[in-house]
Amino acid sequence: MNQGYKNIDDLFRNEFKDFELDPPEHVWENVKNSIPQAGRNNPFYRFRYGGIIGLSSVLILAGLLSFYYLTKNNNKTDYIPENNELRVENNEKSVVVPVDEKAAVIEFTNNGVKHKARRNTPVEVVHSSYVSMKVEKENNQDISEVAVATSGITAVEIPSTRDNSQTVSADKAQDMDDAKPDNLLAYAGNTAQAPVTSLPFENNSGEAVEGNLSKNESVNFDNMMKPTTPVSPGIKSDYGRKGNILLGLSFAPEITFFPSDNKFTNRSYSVDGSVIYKFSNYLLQSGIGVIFASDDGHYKVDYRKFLGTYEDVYDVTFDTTGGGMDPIYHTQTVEVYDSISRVALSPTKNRYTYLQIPVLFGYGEDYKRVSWFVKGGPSLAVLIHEGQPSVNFESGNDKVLNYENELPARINTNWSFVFSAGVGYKLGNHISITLEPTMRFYMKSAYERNVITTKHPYSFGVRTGLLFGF
Amino acid sequence: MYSEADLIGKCLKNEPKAQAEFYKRFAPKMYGVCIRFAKNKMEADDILQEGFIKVFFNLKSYRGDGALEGWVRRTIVNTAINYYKRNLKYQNDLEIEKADSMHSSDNGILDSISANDLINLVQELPVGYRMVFNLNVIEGYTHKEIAKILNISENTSKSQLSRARQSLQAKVNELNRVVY
Repeated sequence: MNQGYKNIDDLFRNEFKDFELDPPEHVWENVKNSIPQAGRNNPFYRFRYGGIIGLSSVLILAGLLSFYYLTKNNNKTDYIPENNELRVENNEKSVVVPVDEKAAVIEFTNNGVKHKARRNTPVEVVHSSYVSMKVEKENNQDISEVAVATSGITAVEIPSTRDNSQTVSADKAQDMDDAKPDNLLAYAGNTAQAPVTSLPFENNSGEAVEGNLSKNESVNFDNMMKPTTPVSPGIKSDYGRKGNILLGLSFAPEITFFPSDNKFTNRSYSVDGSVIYKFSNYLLQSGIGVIFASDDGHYKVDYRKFLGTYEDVYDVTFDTTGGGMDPIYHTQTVEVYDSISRVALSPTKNRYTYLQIPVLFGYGEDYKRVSWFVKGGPSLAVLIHEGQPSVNFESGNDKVLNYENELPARINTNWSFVFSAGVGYKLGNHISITLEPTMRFYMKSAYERNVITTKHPYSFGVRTGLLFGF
Repeated sequence: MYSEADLIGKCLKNEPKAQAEFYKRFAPKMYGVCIRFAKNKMEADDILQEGFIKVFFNLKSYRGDGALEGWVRRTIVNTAINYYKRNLKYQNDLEIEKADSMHSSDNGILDSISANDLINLVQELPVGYRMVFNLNVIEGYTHKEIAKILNISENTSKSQLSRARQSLQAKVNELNRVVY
């Protein structure tokens, strides 16, 4: 095949000149996954993997916290007696009459049909062996003002006090001095009584139902009272509240260190909003934040220095029109560059924006104005934007051969573990300021190529912010 | 089929279809370059992958003052050089000792290609010889440039090229004897 070649260089040069070979498919797949693509440029694309898991975790956590908080809220504001089922054995009649204007709606079940009685409505229960009742607050009125009593052989008085311990169960009520069989009504603080004569109820459809409860009919006594939070003029620590939710807004500067190269550090800043659920002295925190980070680096520019130009004669023709043979030189200007390529470094700064989703668990204690806490847990960072400025190199007439950004690209998602210990100082009933030194330990290098570090980077920062309690 | 200007413009907008066409248009030729610089197919895959990632990331720096293919090729060659430098410490010095006694035999990495004997021969060269031969003979770099790029002396570059030529000549002759 090389019979015509005298020179080994010519042989290879000629054979390789247009040599082509189809690369394997996986190379393009890898390239495709490593370069920015239009469909993936929107930040949500990066949520495919860790982002979806992280965001889902936050949503689930938020849902659970909300559910728990609401449940807790109901429990806190609407009293459920220990024995919220009032049983009346062989009772002639039981009566429940809310007499105060601030009274509420009474809901009970009659033969499996729910009924509601409006406030100030006398209710008669005849031959009821099982009575339970539910009193709901109406128009945000304090239903602790509602007086509820049953009678027959059993009478129960529920005082207007918000202290649960003063609730009397049906059995105990029999022993009460003021539980008289014919006293069908008791109203705390008022001891107003009303006769029980009629039963204008509303059923589930809202229609009025007339009738009496008979045996085995029941009235639910759920949510009978609403003890309210003590009205305290003093300042209450936000962290000290039991079983409440706090919202936080924080700012944190951080310095990241790369163990394999002590000279390499970078700074970042983060802003985040957090939700903290405090139960007893423990706390559970999540939220969402944005981290702004940047890497200082440089472009490596390969170029050849411009030396000058010359006129190259690429063709000669002869003008014979005059009977002679005058040569005409066809020239072109050729630029001459130094044969040695040079390297210049052009500074640049890559900027990155991450979405951060932490889930932290902690412990804290509260004093009058000051609180302290420690917490830790995993945090997911998802790269949502990166800015790589163009090279800024004044080449003049020099010939630039190639630009290459020496900075390695950052990875799209990274997990880290966050540990912090901080103090809070309450500024008012609902607001605290916190100062929280933080350490972050990354699960892997922040960079795609392991040229900077193969060890775990770590960072230190100080998180400061405000906490709002409700 | 995009024009070259359209292709660049759309790639700069990160349009996946244009990126795929860009790759499809240049990858076979660039893989041919990679395979010359690489010791085996796996290395060539790595160089091509890394090179094209650089190409896409740095495409905005292409000014259009030369052929696009030439620019892509320079990027790929630079990637191959960096790959060589990065892995220099893993190269086996014994390769040089064995250079003259090697035969094109069982490499077989391009056995699906019929006209690739020369590739096989180049790949069998010790990595230093291969780099100098590729850069000087095929890519047109001077010994001074090669010396600077590979951080060796000019004389070393010349010497390695000379040995590479001798080795290749011997192998080509041997191949000819077998063929004819």
